[in-house]
Amino acid sequence: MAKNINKGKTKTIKLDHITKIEGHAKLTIQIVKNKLKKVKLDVYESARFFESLVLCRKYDQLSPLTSRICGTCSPSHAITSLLATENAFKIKVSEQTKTLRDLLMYGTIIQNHAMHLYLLVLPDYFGYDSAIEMASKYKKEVLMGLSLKKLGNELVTVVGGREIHPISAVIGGFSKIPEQDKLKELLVKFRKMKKYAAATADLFSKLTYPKFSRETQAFGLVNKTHSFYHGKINCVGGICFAEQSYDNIFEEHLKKGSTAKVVLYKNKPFFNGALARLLVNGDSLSKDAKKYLPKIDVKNPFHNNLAQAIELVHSFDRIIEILEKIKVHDEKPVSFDVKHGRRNAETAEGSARGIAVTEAPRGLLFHDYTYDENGHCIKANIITPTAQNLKQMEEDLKLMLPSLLSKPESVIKKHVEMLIRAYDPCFSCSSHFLEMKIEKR
Amino acid sequence: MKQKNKKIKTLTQPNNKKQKKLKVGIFSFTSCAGCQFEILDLEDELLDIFSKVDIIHFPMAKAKNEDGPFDVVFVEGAVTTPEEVKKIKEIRNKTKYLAALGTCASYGGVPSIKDFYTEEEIEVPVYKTTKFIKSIRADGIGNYVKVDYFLHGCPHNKYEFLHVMKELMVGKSPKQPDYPVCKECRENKNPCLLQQGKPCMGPITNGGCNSVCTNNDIACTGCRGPLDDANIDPIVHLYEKMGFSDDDIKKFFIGYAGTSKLFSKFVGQTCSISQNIPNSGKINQRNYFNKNLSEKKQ
Repeated sequence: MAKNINKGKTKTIKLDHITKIEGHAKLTIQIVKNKLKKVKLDVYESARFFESLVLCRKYDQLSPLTSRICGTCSPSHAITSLLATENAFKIKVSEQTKTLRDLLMYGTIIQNHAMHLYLLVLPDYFGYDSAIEMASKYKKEVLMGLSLKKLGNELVTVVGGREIHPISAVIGGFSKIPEQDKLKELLVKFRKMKKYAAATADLFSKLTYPKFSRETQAFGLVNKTHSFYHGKINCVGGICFAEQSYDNIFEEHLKKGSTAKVVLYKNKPFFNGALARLLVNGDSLSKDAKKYLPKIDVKNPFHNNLAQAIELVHSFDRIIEILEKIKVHDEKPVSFDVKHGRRNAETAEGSARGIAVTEAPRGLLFHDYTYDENGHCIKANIITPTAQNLKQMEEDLKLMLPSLLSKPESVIKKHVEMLIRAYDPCFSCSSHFLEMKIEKR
Repeated sequence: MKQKNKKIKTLTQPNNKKQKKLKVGIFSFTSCAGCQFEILDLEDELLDIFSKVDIIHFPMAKAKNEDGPFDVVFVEGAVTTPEEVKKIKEIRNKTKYLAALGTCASYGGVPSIKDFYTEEEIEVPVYKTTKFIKSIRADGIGNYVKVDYFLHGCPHNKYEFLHVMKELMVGKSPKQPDYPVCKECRENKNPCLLQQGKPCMGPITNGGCNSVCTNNDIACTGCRGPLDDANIDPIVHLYEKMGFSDDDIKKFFIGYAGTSKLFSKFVGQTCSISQNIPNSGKINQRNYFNKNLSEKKQ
């Protein structure tokens, strides 16, 4: 794991495999004469070329395939992909479809946040190697986390057909409408388990987070219900724009000497995810979730964990609200014509372009497809939240490290890992990034 | 080759009470990590089963990880870089029982779609150049080392994982399911999707998934790979009759298990992107399919 090579006064700390995150990343920190010289975050997740893999495929294959980008937030990818395709072909879905998709998104938030908080983050704060070890003393907490995660899985399974890579959400609606009885059963469970969600927020608001503060930009979707499914993109400064203009607002950079695609706003890094969402859209939280807002320090990225716990409470409230009202009826997915979207004046003749954005558990997720006249994909662009957060992670590391340099290496290592983990990064998602270098300043 | 091993290795198990816990490793190669999550999704059984074995390597869930030797190793993900080729060989050498976890590890999965195109077709649209990527063809681990069990599926079925683990813990050799998806689909009383004109791959695909897709009225996409004795031709004719083009049909087969012997034989080695996409550049003959053949099975 951590290796320490002393060459005169130059010290290199290597974290060869950052653990307890999704995917593969490593970090190299170079210190010369007690000054931080280099921070290098390498994502050595192998490239999977999803944007090429979907080319020439028919519209109905894109959602199942892009769902495979990420195992944790697969419903987010699947739904965002469907939305992009529907936007391309100008398909309008029913209110029921929208509600069910909203549920699916809340479900994936619970799946992800519960797992990340209890299995990956909490062991750090309680001083254990893993949740399995932590269970020896904190069995109650681990079981609580697992039962929350299980409930999220159940919701995704009832609505989407399977907990990972959901099946029944298709273009225009659902191939199979969930049974009303099952939704009723879920309502009972969610009401019963609500106290665990609240206990999670209590637990995470009492943890001692490392002290760290920085000013930066944040982006998130704005809507009235803190939904993860729709909304306008908004930043702290107050600019608000629709998804169609994302490629004018966010700059995707290809760096010389590196294959990293870095996403910047006005040439500066920004962050998104739970903490950013609370910052730009905190007013939309449920009453119970709002109570915890004063405990949040938006300048401290470690508080992203607390923000996730708060979103857990909100998701429970919203799911209960939706399940109380919902009365599903049988309906077939909307039928459509692939030629319809061609009227889009912005694109070349004969092709149809669709862009969609949602809030994945880790932040903004963009899918952008162009289809030919027969409904085969001819161009695809996908920007994942971790891609957008990565530059900010680097900046934070650069800012945080100098104060830690006098500490033993194990402490540095732990803090660095905790910071990266706090962002809940998903390096399988961001496999655009093969290498990331911070230049000397 | 991804043929199932007829001779399955049994782990030596002392029959006295002081039985040692199995040393288990869970590794991840190129993948979406979903198969590891599928294990963590065993919420009710997770703590119990993990307390009965020694999980000594599982970087996604543990900070401290040992390098073996292992009694049992589950590998998730496809092999797509020279480093991963080296790694899987190392793992095999210190592991008694090696299982492929999910379709990527079994057949290369979704990443292996690229095997049917040229480097330029795949890399240029994403990275603008092919210079920096050292990617070889994506393949299942079975192409490089001997594999004792294949947990098929995208993702695999967590109850199958549990079953395999339990069998190994008592010293038995788990047996692969050897029936098509249709068996479970019929047991679940689903109407046949082929009869409704949907391009279902159920009849030629390994079962064991409890027909989860067809239960939801979605045609099987063959994510668990072909049955050993699958008869491809009749089903291809059926798809043709349904009105699917030759190119679309090929793409059904190169979704998840395209590299399998049966499917790749049908698809052939190339299925160009360039002819359909304007301005996608010259087609180069450096095909992934033939890249790094020297790295093949020891």
